[in-house]
Amino acid sequence: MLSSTVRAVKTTLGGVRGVRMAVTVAQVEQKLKEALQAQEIEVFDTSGGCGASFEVSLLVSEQFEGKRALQRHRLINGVLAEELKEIHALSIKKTLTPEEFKTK
Amino acid sequence: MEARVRARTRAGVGGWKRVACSCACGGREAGGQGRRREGRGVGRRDGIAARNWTGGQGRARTWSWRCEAQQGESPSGFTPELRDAVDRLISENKIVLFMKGTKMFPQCGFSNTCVQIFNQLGAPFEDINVLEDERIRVGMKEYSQWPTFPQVYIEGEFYGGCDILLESFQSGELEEYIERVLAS
Repeated sequence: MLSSTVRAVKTTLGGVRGVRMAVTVAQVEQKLKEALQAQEIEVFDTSGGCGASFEVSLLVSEQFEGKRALQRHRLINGVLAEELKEIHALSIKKTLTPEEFKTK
Repeated sequence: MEARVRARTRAGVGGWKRVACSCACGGREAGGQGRRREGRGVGRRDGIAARNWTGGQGRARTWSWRCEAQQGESPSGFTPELRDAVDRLISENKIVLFMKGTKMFPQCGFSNTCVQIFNQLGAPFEDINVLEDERIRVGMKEYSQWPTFPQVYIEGEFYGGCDILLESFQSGELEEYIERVLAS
């Protein structure tokens, strides 16, 4: 079973190899949207396109209700567990509930 | 990771056998002497190697053995002693920062941010350079259940990473918290 960052690639001799592809912004956004039903999301690749470090500048989700900052970050880390094995750094800036987002 | 090697007895029954292990311990984990030459380990015949004796024909026999270090957890994870040391460190010091580099010479922007925040608040803290020891680097990720560094511990509890520290510093919450902690 391939992880989300490994792609099957055909080799010249007719076999199949797993090749590790870099993590992309689209991948990260997709995962967070699905798992946390994110209403607003902003993700940037801060490594200049290398897929080595990412920044989640904004994430608005109802699942953050009743959770302090650390718990919200842990939630995000849990969703991105696979990707975190590949990337070097993940920076999480704003994690808000829909109510908090309205008032900001 | 298994190493299959053909080994010949040097001194017959009861003698020392040379076996190679492809892991980095050089046979030391199996109770051997460690590396004699680069890339080869020496394991005792009556230790791991003998237990996995698979037999064979004549003098050239096939060994199949597994270095003990790799049968269970990863070789660069926490040992119980290391875990105890970290427990003690975190309970004895009010503020501990597991970072890349040292407080005098941080080797990562996020780690540096944490150092500057604590300096700004005038808070004394213990800094641990995770780049110095691979076991700490791997082990702390599991210990804190946090995938990156820096990691901040205040009063024996995991506080968060750089982002959380910065956020609470900017809101004034951190200063209040640290004042209480240092006063107690």
